[in-house]
Amino acid sequence: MRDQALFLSGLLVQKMGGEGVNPYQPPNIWEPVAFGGSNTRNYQQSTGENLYRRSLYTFLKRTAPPPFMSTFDGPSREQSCSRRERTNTPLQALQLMNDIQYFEAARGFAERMLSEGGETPEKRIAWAFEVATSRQPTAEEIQVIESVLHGYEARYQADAKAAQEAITVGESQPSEKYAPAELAAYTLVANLIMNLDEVINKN
Amino acid sequence: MKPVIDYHRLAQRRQFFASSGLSLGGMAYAMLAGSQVAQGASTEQVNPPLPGLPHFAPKAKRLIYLHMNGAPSQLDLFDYKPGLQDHYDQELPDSVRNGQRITTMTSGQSRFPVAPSKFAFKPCGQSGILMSELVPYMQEIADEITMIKSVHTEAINHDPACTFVMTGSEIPGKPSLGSWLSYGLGSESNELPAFVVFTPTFPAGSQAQALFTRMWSSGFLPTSHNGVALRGTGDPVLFIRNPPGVTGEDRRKMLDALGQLNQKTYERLGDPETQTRIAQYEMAFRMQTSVPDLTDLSSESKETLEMYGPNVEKMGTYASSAILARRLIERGTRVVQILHRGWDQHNNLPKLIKNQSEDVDQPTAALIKDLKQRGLLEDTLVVFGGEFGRTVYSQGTLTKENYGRDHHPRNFCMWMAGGGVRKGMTYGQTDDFSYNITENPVHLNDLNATILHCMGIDDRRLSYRFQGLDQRLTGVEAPTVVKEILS
Repeated sequence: MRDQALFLSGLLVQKMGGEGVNPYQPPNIWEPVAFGGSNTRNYQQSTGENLYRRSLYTFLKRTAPPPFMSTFDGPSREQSCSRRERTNTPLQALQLMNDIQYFEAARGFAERMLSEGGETPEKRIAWAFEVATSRQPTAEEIQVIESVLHGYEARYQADAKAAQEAITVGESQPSEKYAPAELAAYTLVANLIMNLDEVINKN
Repeated sequence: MKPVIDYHRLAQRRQFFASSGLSLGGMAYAMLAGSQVAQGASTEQVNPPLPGLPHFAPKAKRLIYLHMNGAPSQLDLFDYKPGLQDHYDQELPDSVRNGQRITTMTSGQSRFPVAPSKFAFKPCGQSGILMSELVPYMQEIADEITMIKSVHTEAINHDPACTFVMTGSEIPGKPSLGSWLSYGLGSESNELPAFVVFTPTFPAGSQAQALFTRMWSSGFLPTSHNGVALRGTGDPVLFIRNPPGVTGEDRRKMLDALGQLNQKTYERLGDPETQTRIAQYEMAFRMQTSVPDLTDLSSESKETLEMYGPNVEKMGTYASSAILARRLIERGTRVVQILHRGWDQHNNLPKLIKNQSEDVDQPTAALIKDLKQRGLLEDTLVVFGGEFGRTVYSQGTLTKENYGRDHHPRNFCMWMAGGGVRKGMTYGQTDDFSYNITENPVHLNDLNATILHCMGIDDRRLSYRFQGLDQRLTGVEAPTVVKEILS
């Protein structure tokens, strides 16, 4: 799921091999459980391209696994696992909507909508929908999304500070080609598309 | 013609019957238990109990488990052995140790000198339960509790012992007690998780062991039954806060559109998981309001806050966790588990155990009193204890004022209070050295079976097939529910 979000955003670093990395993680995942003298007591978050590598390169502390895996039924690695559970929880929803790495990825995806998606909002929405779900949206679906897009555009045009905040989440910098209000509105729409059941669940 | 989709639609008819069976079971439970769901007929439980559960009318609907991690010394808190003063610095008799293997932390010692507790004990309340001066506030709640002096375990070191006390197995990967309860009984709250965990701060300089998320993990059960660790610093629930520049209103609009689009997906493909997804996103949105409300103590009276002691408003402390535990179960959370670290006193025990006790004593007693004054203690079970006990012989240098104690799995004390257990009772006895059980042993599996029993569950009948076995919290061999302590 994380890899998918990174891929959609264009942030994914496809480099292979090398040492484990420490992607975004909220504070106090490792610290409250760690043994005093442990050399993995404090989480040292990586920087630069190591934030955007495929999830399989993530360093795993077994006593405190990263939430982007454990919340999504990642096996504990303490017993062999012949079948992964599939759950559906509010914590997953919160993470996919609000986690810095997913929201930053939404901005990346929004930039791609604006640069690769075509000239009109409908075309951009249709492009993003197809890239994320592998099918073309219906007219009705486009209409639902376009309506929230316009709402967000108006809202962020009226609040430049909020727009700036929404597009500067994460370490990567937003493209300066786009007006902050426009990019912020598209970021929320990208966040919406990336949270569609069709995108996160194999139906 | 889309054969794959048609097939899934067919499958969905079966799912419909299966799930309506589930919710009928849920309704029957609600009527039996007189739960909030029955009262508020319009709200459907997002996480209903399994069909057929509870197996019988529960005495306790909720559990608060206070885990003193590191193994508190039963000799200095609850297991009074006045005769030990006469044995001060004498060798522990061979007839008592009886050839038991001990840990490598003390096996190299040339002597095993008896270390009597330096703390004074007194009989408390009407019941006369014995407690030491380390826990003056707990002394006040003696008449509410059942003290079990004869709990025993199999593990002698922290990692397997903690895994055992929480999951009923020394082998990692099994579901924790709270996860089993969440799985079996579901959640009465649609706004907060069924199983919540706190890992509070502990006194500086304490000998603390590591914790493991497996102590609140759902193991092979679906991860929706994982304990949710409420965090002491930063946001109490991970990712509860919208990103910067995004308001609750923005989120609401996004969720309205998301719900519409997901509904269309459901109409097209008919996968009930999609419906669940819609419900879980709505629950996430409600949590964004209910969690800040939970942690906002401004509605608590001054008297209540004072009862929990000076640290109650400091997020992340044991006192704060204790009052939040009460607020959680008031809001329908099924299980709250507080894991307080720092009880591993191999040396310097008198000083360190005093700090530890001061950290938990007042808030623990306040929790019992607070539950009682709100009428919640009747159907809330509270459990207090560690993962094993400590030795009567001193680890390291022994003086009248200072000593240490090694790990001791053969007997230790735990107490229970509230729904399902008797008040003011002492159960089980140990020998004069608090080294062996002489009466009514309670194995941890027995204890867990008893907890399940209080919650209306027959431990033999709550199982989950994994790796070819019908796995249970209480293992393969049938444990004994400790009937004598039940109310």
